[in-house]
Amino acid sequence: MEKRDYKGPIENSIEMAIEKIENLLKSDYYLSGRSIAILLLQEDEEIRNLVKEKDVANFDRIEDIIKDTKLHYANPISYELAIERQDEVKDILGRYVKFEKDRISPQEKLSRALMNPLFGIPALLLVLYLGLYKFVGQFGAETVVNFLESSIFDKYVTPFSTVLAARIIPWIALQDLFIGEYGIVTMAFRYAFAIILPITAVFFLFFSLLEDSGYLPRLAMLIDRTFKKIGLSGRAVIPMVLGFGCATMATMVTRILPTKRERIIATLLLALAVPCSAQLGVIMALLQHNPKALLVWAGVILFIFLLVGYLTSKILPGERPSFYMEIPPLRIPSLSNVMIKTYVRVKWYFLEIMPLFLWASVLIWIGRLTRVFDLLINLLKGPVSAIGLPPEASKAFLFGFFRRDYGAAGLYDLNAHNKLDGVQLAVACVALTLFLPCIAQFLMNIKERGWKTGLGISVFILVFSFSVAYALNIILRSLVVVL
Amino acid sequence: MSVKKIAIAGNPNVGKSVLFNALTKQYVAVSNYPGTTVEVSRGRMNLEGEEYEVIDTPGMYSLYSITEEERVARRILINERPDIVIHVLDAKNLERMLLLTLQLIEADLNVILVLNIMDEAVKEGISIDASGLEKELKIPVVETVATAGKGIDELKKKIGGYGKKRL
Amino acid sequence: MDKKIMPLSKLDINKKAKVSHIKTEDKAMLQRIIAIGALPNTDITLIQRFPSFVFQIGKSQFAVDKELASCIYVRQI
Repeated sequence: MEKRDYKGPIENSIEMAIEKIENLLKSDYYLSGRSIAILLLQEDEEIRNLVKEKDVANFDRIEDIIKDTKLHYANPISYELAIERQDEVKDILGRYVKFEKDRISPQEKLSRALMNPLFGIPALLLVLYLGLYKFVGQFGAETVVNFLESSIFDKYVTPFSTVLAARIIPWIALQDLFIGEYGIVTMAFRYAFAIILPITAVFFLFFSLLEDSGYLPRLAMLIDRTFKKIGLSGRAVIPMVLGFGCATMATMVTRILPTKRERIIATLLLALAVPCSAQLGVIMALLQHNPKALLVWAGVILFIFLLVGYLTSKILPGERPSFYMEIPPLRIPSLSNVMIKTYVRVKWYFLEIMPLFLWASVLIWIGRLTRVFDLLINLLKGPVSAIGLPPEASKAFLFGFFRRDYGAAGLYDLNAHNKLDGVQLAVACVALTLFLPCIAQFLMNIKERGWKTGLGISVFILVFSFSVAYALNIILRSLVVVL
Repeated sequence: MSVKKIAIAGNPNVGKSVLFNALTKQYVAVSNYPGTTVEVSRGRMNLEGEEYEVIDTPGMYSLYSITEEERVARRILINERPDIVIHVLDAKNLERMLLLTLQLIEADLNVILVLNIMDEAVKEGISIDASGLEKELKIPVVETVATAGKGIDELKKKIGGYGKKRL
Repeated sequence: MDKKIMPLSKLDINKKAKVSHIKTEDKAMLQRIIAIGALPNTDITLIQRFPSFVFQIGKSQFAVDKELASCIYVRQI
């Protein structure tokens, strides 16, 4: 208890100050006066403003007491109080709690192995391979999606609604809104329920399992050193991994990052180089029979992720991030809890996303009807041709803005008709992954980061994505790479 | 009859949400706390004919706040004036988490202390004299394993009892 | 008091120690350390130092970076 020695003369002790301040507090704060006094002594800004507002008359005297008290302590008052409290807690625990001698349980052994890079990094790769590639990518994005698309939508929903719409809607143009190529039923509902729903549900299930097993903090501690190089701390793995599910939701989760600088870097990287599950699903489907193109795509995206992060951390002012995180014990997740979490997340996603899907369908319908889209598509044909893609691909890019996955799905259709070779496929996937975030994420960027930053990020990405794709196309072509 | 308010408070990752779900059964609303980006869930609970509003507050380590979550949790305590505050903590980390209990008691709130995740604490060889703690702190103390639904009935009893005694 | 005092980052792995004091000019850093509970006289054990520092206080484990680990001064026991 050596710190106790620092205590000033008794009339200036913290305890005296608390009492004096308590007597000066005349308003009702719901919390006790003592509690408010202690928070004031710790210089809590919010409570200070509250008291300034509610106890105007005595505020200056309270401030004087705080100033005086601080002078008599070598350490910040919050530190002194924490030490005092700690002693009190220890005293109580000593009487009512018994600890058995520490022993290292099998769980603890596994936990330590997972945090040791020698075993932990291979284990991490295995988790990502099994979880993201096998479970989300193959099971979710292929098996379940194929079943829903071919056995439910193509067989029942689409034919049924086509017949129905033809019968009750007399105008072809209006029929198009519901059952056309980009119609509400044929596109919005089909993509939402047959493609997006299964992929996101499977992803969120995987994420909730990771979360409840206590694995994420171990991942964070393994990756902290690497993330520090790109201006982030290990804590940022949580939004980053979530970004593989829904980058829009992940952008919202960047709130857990303690500094504005980290939040900006994470938002930029999520918008630029982290493909969401919907996109990932379609990209996997596009590249599944072309492992070399898949490798090129993954390599380029990873490289861009690290490069842009590194450069941003060099340019953005602000202090280096600090990392601290509690490592909870490994647990076997409770199934019902995982299910509830997954359900709540999928529900959030749908309530947030479904209206945007519908709007996108309506906007695309209007855009096509009024030929504004033809104009925009023509404008995009220039840059699209410049990166070596057929002009039809510009449609995929434009629609990609309304939903990133629409864009990816547009390419999917193009590929189904064998219009792209391996290099074009890789370049297109890189461009689309990097390209402007979907409209939902665009709005979220602005909501979370403000107009200037949100818009700045989008303009940067627009230019940057095409530049990278342009360079990649030239490199691959001049090396005569065949993918 | 007016609806009584219960706030669930505690560190992050101690099972507050699980406890919230166990008490309320049905989700009522998840919304951003006014002026912030922090989400707060509110639900209803009926206990022996008495209606309660239950608020699941964001994680807090201490009344002295550093993060936005902690500020929101504290604002809920100040502005919503809960009749009962349930402090949930991880029983095996009693040493670090009892600090907040002491702060809540010091703030003159009606605190019920929930020692959650008791199964892990027992596995770690920790034994807690809950009734001794109850007498020392002069507040109700309940041991629970919220994920398995253990101790929830006991907690409800204490909530009801609290309601009759002190409110 | 013959045992020497050193930052946590220099402590041997799996050796028991007690926190002696916190040394930092950064108020936010001090609050983080208080939240973790690494206060003077608390038992602390370092579990691992790479890629991050992991230590145990009571039954809780924390992962921190080198900067934070260097602010906590400990005495081996």
